[in-house]
Amino acid sequence: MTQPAIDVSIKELSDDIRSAIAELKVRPEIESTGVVTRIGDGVAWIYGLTSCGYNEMLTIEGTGDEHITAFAFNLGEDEIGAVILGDDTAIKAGATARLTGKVLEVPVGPELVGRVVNPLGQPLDGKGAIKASETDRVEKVAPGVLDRKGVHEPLMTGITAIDAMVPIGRGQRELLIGDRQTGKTAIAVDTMINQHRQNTGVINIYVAVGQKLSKVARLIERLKREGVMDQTIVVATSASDPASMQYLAPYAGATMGEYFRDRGQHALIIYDDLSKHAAAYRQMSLLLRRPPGREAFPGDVFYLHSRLLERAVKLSDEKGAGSLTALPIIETQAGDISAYIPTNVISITDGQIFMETNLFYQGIRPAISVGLSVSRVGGNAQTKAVKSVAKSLRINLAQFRELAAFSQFSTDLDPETRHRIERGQRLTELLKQPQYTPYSVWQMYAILLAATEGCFDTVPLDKIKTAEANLLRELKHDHPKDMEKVNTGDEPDDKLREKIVKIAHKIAESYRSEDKETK
Amino acid sequence: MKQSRHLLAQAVADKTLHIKDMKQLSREVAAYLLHEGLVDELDSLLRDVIAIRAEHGLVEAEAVSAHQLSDADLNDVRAILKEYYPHAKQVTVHQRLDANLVGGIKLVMPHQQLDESVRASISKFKSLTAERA
Repeated sequence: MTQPAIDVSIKELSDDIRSAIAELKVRPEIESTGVVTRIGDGVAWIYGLTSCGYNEMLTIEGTGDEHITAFAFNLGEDEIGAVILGDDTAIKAGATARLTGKVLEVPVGPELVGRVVNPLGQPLDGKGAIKASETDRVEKVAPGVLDRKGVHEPLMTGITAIDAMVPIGRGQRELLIGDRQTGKTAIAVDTMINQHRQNTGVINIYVAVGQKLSKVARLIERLKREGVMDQTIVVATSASDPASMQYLAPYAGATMGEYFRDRGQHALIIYDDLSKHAAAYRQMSLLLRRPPGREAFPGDVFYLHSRLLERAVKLSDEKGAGSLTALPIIETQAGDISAYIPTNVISITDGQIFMETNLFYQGIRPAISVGLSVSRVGGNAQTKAVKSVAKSLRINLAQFRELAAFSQFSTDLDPETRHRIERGQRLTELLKQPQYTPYSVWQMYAILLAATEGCFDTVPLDKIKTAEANLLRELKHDHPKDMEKVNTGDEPDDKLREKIVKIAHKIAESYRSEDKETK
Repeated sequence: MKQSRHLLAQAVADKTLHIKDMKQLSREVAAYLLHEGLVDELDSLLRDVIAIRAEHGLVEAEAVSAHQLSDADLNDVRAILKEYYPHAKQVTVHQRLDANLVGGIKLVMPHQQLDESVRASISKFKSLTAERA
């Protein structure tokens, strides 16, 4: 005899059956139906349903007793083009299609936090059904101008190079753009980890669009290991999922994030990546016989991303002051940021972080191109502490980049030039950061202060990271209360600055002595 | 430019209301569809025509059942259709057998359907209990 199912209550089952019978006793009425005339490639062409609305959900009778969901995407005079959500092999020509009277909705709420779901809100993690009490529409209009407030609160990524030079604020859209395997997702993951480490209370939503399932699985495993999964929702579609699901995934994720935004909370959403999203939309549009434009994308591919990214906002105080910050990811080919989709998304977002392949292979990771990266929100989204030490960082690095190329051809450099180059090398070295180790505010402050005050100018290049580690260890061990004060984000007073500089000099001195001894 | 199927259906429906020689009309429509390469759209075109004729009071429906319907059953079906189409001047019912329905009857019209078959009830019952689960 097989083991009985756990949690089966016969009383509940009996009640369910009785209420189902009661519903069935109501006499069926004539209902509007359509007929599937053609089906293939995830698209069903339907005759009838003349009162169908755009994006309205339909159910189509499949073989057996299945009912497959679709949504109306092309409303023609003679027929409707409906995109199938799920397996289209169960549908045959002649099948009956019915209207549901609803547009696509997904479950929303705190019940989704910690779960891995598909774009319809169905669980993929094997942890049972999601008992969400609310649902909301996948396609929604973004808040208007009067409902918004300027971005003024920092969203700390924990990555020194970003928080110092390309700061991101809550409610901002900052694009992560670069070739494949340059660390775009790594930055996004570190940002999520930092929200947990710094106890910011920000809810993360990671939307995987057409990613390899192995990559998504590894990412989820890492999030679990770091303890971040408890404040994260993962909306996953793989490369083998239908284009319709890949198309819906970012919108579904945005709807889940808006739940928190609209209730005064803060959420961070990562779209990984919108290049695949555009490709999925192109596939759907071509199958629906929409006219192709540039690079075969439909004419409204800009609108595809603009309406998505406009939903990331910082709301006004009257609306609860919640925020949804977006980190969309775009993959370029051979570093071409002037291609169609990259330029579209660059013009929509509030800045971009450009990852360069040659920096990555030089060992500069995160491989952020300081020259091409920008945050249009800027200092408004920076903590006062980091702002006070990061002012000259960009210009120092810019000068170093100019001079570095020059120095390869000349050995006879004046002291000023040599100093700038050496300072730039040390800054570059200090901005390198291992994966999964986001820094807190006090750590970033201490590192940048030591660098910009020239404390490490005499430390050999290969010992810089060790010196940095020693500085942080000593500050944490010997001055924990001071570092807690710095971690609040307020600019430290001169006394504390001098203390940190003194400690940094002392550590640098120890390396100079070491160097003398070896010589 | 491709002719709108709805306009074509309108023209065909108008002809069926006035013409006496249906064979001639069939040949003309067939020739037109072949010439325009619209043969695949014949089924949809005919549904349009039925729908337009229904607007003129000539209601046609297909009654699908698992077993042959008696004359009394057919009269009942006509009475149901007259309830839903009170302005109908003529009601025509075509029969089709489909053992998959198990029992009961399904009325199929171009844009509408009334499904009182046993199969539909079982399917709905399954979906209702699945939702609750």
